[in-house]
Amino acid sequence: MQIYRAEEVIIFQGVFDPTQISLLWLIIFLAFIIMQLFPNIPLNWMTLRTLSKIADRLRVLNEFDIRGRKTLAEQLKKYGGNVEKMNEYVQEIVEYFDIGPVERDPYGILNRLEYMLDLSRYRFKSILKTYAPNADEESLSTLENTAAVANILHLINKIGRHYYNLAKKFKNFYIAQQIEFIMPLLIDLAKNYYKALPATTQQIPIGDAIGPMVIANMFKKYGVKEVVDVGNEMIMGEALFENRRLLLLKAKGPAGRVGKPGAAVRQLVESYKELIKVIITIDAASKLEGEETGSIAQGIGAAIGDPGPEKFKIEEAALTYRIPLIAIIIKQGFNEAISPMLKQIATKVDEVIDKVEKLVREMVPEGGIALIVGIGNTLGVGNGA
Amino acid sequence: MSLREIAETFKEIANMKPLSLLKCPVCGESVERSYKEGEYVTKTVEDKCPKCSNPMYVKLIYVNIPPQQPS
Repeated sequence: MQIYRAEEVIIFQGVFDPTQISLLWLIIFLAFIIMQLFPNIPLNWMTLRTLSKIADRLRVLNEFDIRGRKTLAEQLKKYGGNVEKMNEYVQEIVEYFDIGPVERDPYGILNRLEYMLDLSRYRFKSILKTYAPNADEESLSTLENTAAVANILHLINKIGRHYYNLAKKFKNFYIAQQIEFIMPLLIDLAKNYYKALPATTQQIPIGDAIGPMVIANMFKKYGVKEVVDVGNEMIMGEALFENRRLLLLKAKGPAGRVGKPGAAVRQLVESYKELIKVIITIDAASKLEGEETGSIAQGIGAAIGDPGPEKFKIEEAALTYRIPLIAIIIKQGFNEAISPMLKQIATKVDEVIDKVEKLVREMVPEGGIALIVGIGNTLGVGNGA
Repeated sequence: MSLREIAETFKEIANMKPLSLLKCPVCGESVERSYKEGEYVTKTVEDKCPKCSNPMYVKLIYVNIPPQQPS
């Protein structure tokens, strides 16, 4: 802003004669009166301006949605989907939803939640199997990931459009402002989910796969030749480390699965009881802004980001036999957890293994057992043997 | 995020090249190369170790891009 000196102001005033200056003041005064009498005029103008900015960004969300649907359609075609009915199939998949259990009566809510989650996955997979008849069990799990991403991209687009239309319908500046504020977050979220699409179609590990990746590398390091299917889409390998037994658990790969680690842990704890001296869970965890991607931290508890049932089972199993529950987390942004694995995260695998070994030496006496669980989506991570 | 940035994002995603880090189970030598479709972590691949010529396995798969900044 330019600052005028006093003499310049006097010269400037000299340009206009007193009548013109009075007229100028009158115009300003009238504008002020009009704005007082019709306060909606500037507000409506601002609303329209905000809505026009949002409309531009909505086109971006729509583009992500379209591309997500297109990728899903290509995948369905690849596995024998009917080309003529493809739009109908894709629409049904992206509109799929599940309703959570009632929370007003919390009694038995985790059982009901687990049932709903199982049912939802089963139903979603059945729909995909119907529309992609040539997909085998492995491909179906990966296809499920692609479909889930397309479903979320569609949901994000719908949310943005809903608030835009709401603000437009009621000409409400404040709703328009809210959606304007939230729009960069929605676009960022959509962008990162979109980044997960090539990972699911090409079977590249995502950031969340760091837990299973650690376990797979432990299989290799300790020469695990055979892994056993322990049910619930989980596999277990057994290794010997400095006269201690390691039970290494992860979801069955390399397709995109998370399995039910809680159920598997409970089952193993029931089998080995007090012989298990420690349960170590390894998972990707959300970092706070400013924290370094790939930094490792250690604490207690079950490192698992499920809606509740699996975490509950791990805690319950540990409590029953008073087994220490140690958590190792590899920090990353939510966006990084759903995008293809970054080098900064992947290269932490050996460091995590060192930490696990140190913990085992410290907490498990010779002849004892350590149960080590890699939590997360095992997309692109094999079973070691 | 502007429309131009979005176009760049689509371009960036299209050009995102995953890498495989191969490791020799015998001598521990590591080699980084482009990811080939169908590979997964722990899979034994056809590539031979440049030091001892033993078959290598996929130790890690990742993309080498800087961590994301908020938009």
